[in-house]
Amino acid sequence: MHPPESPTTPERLRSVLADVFDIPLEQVTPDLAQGSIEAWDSYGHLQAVLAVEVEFGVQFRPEVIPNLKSVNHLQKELQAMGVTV
Amino acid sequence: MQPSTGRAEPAQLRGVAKESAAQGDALRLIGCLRSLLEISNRPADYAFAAARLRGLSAEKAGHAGLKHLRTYLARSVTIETFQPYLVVQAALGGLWLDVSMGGYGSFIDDLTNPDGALCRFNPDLVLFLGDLSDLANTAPNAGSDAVDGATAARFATGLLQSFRRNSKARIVVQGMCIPDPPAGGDIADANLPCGESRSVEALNQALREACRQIGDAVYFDVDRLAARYGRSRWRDQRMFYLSRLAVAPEFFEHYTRGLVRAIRALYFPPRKVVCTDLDDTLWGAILGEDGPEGIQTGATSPGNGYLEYQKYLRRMTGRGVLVTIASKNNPADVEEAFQKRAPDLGISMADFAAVKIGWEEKSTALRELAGRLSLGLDSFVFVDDNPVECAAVRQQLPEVLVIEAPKGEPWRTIEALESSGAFDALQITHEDRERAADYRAQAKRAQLESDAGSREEFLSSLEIHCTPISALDAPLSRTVQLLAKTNQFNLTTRRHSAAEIEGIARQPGNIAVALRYRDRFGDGGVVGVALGVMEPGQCRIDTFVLSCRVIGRGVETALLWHVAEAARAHGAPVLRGEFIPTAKNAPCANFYRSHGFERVETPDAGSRELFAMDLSRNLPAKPHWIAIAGSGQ
Repeated sequence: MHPPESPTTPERLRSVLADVFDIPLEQVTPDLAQGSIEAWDSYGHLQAVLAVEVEFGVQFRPEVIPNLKSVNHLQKELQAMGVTV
Repeated sequence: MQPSTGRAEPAQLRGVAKESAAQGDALRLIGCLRSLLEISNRPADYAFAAARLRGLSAEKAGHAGLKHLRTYLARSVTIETFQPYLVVQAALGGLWLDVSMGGYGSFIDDLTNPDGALCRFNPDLVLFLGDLSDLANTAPNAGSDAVDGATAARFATGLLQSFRRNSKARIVVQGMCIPDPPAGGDIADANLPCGESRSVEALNQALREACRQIGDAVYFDVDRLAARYGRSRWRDQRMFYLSRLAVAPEFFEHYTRGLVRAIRALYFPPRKVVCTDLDDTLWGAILGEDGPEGIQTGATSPGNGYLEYQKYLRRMTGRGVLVTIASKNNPADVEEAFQKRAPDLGISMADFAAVKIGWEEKSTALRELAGRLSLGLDSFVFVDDNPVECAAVRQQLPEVLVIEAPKGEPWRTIEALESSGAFDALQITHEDRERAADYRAQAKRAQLESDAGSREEFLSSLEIHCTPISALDAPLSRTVQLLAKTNQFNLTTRRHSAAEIEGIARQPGNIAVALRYRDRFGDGGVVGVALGVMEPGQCRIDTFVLSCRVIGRGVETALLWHVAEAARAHGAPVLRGEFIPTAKNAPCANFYRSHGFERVETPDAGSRELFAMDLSRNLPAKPHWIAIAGSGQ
């Protein structure tokens, strides 16, 4: 079940990451990256990737997943996969 | 796990959740999260929910009634990714998990080393979550190609036995998923004696056996869940190879809910009573409008769906679950329907432990049924097709689990009952079945009472037999227990020890009597005790207690009569009684007065009330509806 009206990217991407890392929305800037906050460790990374996949209905290639290390990277990969920003 | 009511927006619910978490209001927070996840259950929502729960203290969670469990995860797979789901589902299921995790490769050490990380953590609960490849391949002498079921089974059994030697913790043992597609292909797997599926089944069978053997263990059949939602989708191989995640993210919710259900079975007893509505629930259509011939039940559609639900309820009685009815109908109409449609019904009136048919509120009916069965409402599951009735019961009796029967789809009612986990039991004992018969007897007494024209008539029809025996032979432990536990019908509330009771009983002339009770519905055992102390010129009743189960049937009168007879036989001219009021013993405040004793005023009485009866002129009346052994009746 998904909410009928969801915010669009990048607002939507930002809100998912804010939830996963439990940080305020304003803190989710394009250059927020793995290692820059405590919650974004290797497990946090996996949680973020899965949450983004479910949110946008996509599956990242496994070899790409370790490289999606910042909000910017995630956003670019989503765009490359044809997700409307 | 109560579904929530009412509609709200996710953003609104998140706001209330944050506020509740900040205030430390765990109950409100959990209710809020339940509502939120019902309308939006994305991973982000679970992350949000888990973060709010993390903000609560264990103390606040405890105040909200959550059971605190130090939980160790012995695993060979990734858990971190779905940990938010596990913590949230646990909280929704009444559990507060304080989690510590072992390393991927250390599950063998965790389970076998008495000085290892698991034992040092000293957990209440252990979850053993292994993957087939690890159990099969780590086993010494494992076969090189297919899974060697027997070897893996011995290995796994050994691990669990070793765990039990080291730890008293309760444990959830996750079974193995049957791989799909199987090695060797569908046809070979199904036909060859060494098929992979069969090996895995053998391993799972061994794990089940080991659980039974080591005790305080529950086997978690994850393969059942995988099969239910599709084995080919259950695991996302991409994520397994990338991160050893053994369950696809889309099933995190189902998976963790299943795990929590397994944990709950280790800590919570199953509910004891189903209370079902009749019209459009137990059978189709409305009895009052369509008549006994018009209700839908029987071998053909649509009645056969209802027949299946009736059979299901009947089977539940065999497991010790009590089945009851709360229905808005005329009692005579319902009797008629059960008689006329008996060949088409899968359950009969005799199968119901108690029945409440009338026009009062369902919550009133439920309260009355609970009273008649002497069970708490938290033992009840209520099934009704009417959403208004369901909402009313949820609101008025939150401890009752309410299941809304889907209209016209009775088979889904069974599904809803099963998936609620309300009747999850790890064993069904002899006592479970006995208990059912016991409650039925209690309910029959109550029914008889409401049917009988007068109280005298009711009491006579019970065919009560009382047998006075020595309080030392009750046995003595039962006498001590009655004195220790009885609060309501306890005139002096003196909690004598075994030695003190023996001291009184051994003194010549004293009275130390226990009363056995039996009626046409069953044997009640020892239900009352009286101790009388012989003093110059009188016998003083030091202690007089009666189990609340038999209050109001004249048993107290029978016991007093027996004491008076014995006192007179021992030569006491006067029988003295004493009432010491407590917060709870008001029900017996008038006992001596109503049995013909005279109030005696003494300056040193304090709050005590003293009474006396002149045995040379008087005796308490003997209840004529009770046969007292040894009294010449």
